[in-house]
Amino acid sequence: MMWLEFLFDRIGGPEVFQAVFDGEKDAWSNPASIEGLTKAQELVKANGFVKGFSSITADSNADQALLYTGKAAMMLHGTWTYGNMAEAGGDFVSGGHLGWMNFPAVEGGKGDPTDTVGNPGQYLSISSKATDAQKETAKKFFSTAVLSDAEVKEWIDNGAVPIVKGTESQLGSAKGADFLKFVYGIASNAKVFAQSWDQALSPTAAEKLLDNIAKLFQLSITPQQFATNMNQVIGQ
Amino acid sequence: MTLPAVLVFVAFAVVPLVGVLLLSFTSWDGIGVIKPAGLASWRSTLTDPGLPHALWVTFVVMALSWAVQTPLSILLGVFLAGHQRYRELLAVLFFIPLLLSSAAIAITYKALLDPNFGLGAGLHLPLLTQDWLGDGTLAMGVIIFVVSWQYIPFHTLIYQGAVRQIPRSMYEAAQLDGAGRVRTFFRITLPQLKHTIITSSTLMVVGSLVFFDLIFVLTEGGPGDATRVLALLMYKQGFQANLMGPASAIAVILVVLGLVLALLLRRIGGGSSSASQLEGA
Repeated sequence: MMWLEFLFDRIGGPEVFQAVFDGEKDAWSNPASIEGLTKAQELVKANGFVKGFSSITADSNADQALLYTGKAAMMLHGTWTYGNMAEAGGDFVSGGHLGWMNFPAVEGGKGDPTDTVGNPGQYLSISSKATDAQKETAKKFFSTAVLSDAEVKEWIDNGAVPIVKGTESQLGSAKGADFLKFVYGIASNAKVFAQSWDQALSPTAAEKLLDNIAKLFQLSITPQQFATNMNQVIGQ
Repeated sequence: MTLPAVLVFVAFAVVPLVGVLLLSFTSWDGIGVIKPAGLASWRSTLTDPGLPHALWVTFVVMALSWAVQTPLSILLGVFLAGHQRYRELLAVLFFIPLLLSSAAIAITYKALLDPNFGLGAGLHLPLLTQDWLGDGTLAMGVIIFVVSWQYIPFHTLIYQGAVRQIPRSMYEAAQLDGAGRVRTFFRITLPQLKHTIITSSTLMVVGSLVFFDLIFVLTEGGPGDATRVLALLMYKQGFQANLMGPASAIAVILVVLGLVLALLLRRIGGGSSSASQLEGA
């Protein structure tokens, strides 16, 4: 999913997914979207992905293991993997063998290479069906408890970047300072910070999305079929 | 006298069944308000292309696991009913897979079959280093293998008990008539096992219809939907896509299918199971 998120953005800009999110009809059949899907399949056909990629278990961190045992050269993943790799990868991280960069621009694409996708650090969701009083309580909790100074310090000590502007100075003294500063830079400089697709869409649509992505990368459906299938659940 | 049993049955079997039937006529996301929706959920389930595919996958799993488990269980059962040396030790060893939890077995096999860090990669055996769980056909094969590995001991036990019941006089008669081991097996042992085969097959078939935990942990229906059996489709619709109405419709379909299969098997096995197979009867 992350591959598609970035490809869509770099090729056609954030408007491509925004149209889906806004519930526009046939938003997935946008030419930029089809191009992104096609490019993903081209990468699979060119053996860009490691052997057996469709059965690698992410929950046992087997995908990160590929990186720190030298079986994979690059990995597109979330920043949360840094902590695990530092711990489980031996001297992979501490010995300076890990490099990082933002997703590169695609030649001829309209998207801004500073755009990023994901979930900024930590996030909380509240149901739209909650009462107003419940929503007020949630907002107060968020602004006072979650973002208090003590919390921020704890986040940094654990190797994550808190979702507060101006904490850059505190990052310098933390473990893995270079990586944290890099992440902070991406987050604050991104023109557009889009949501992860499986969080932005409803569970019904997200389920269909993940299903179709699996089939796309298995090369069992074409980009057009992907678009048709996903167009059916727009707005659900 | 039978009131407690009837109460338990009603509470735990009838009430949920009726509940699911009613839910299939609603539209519900599992958390909010249950809205009656007439036949909408049924319509969307029956027109979903995922349903015939799931039915096919379930049928394949059922047929293949029966075809693999039954012959092996019968042979093992006959062996364990005999009096060979080391029979008891082997019996204990054969029984171990049944004692393990399905989820634990699935997690272990998943780790063993990893194409980069599993058994094949560790022992440098190219044959074992295939993309077992990433290729549709291979994943199906793996499922059948693991299911059989876990449940053959159970059915072996059933057959072992059944073979022990066959009267020795029949074997002696066959020996007197000059029948060899193979003929004895096909002419005496198998026919005497008829009712046991029906029982064991019913358990196997209905069991594989609702099979969930092993497949869920091992492949989650993947890759794509190559191993997405009906029970998994129901889970994904209900708990991942939050569509409880269609999921309940699939549940009703499962119940009906299970019932039909069980009745069919009984019919095949000869209507009356009280007909005796004893000699002279």
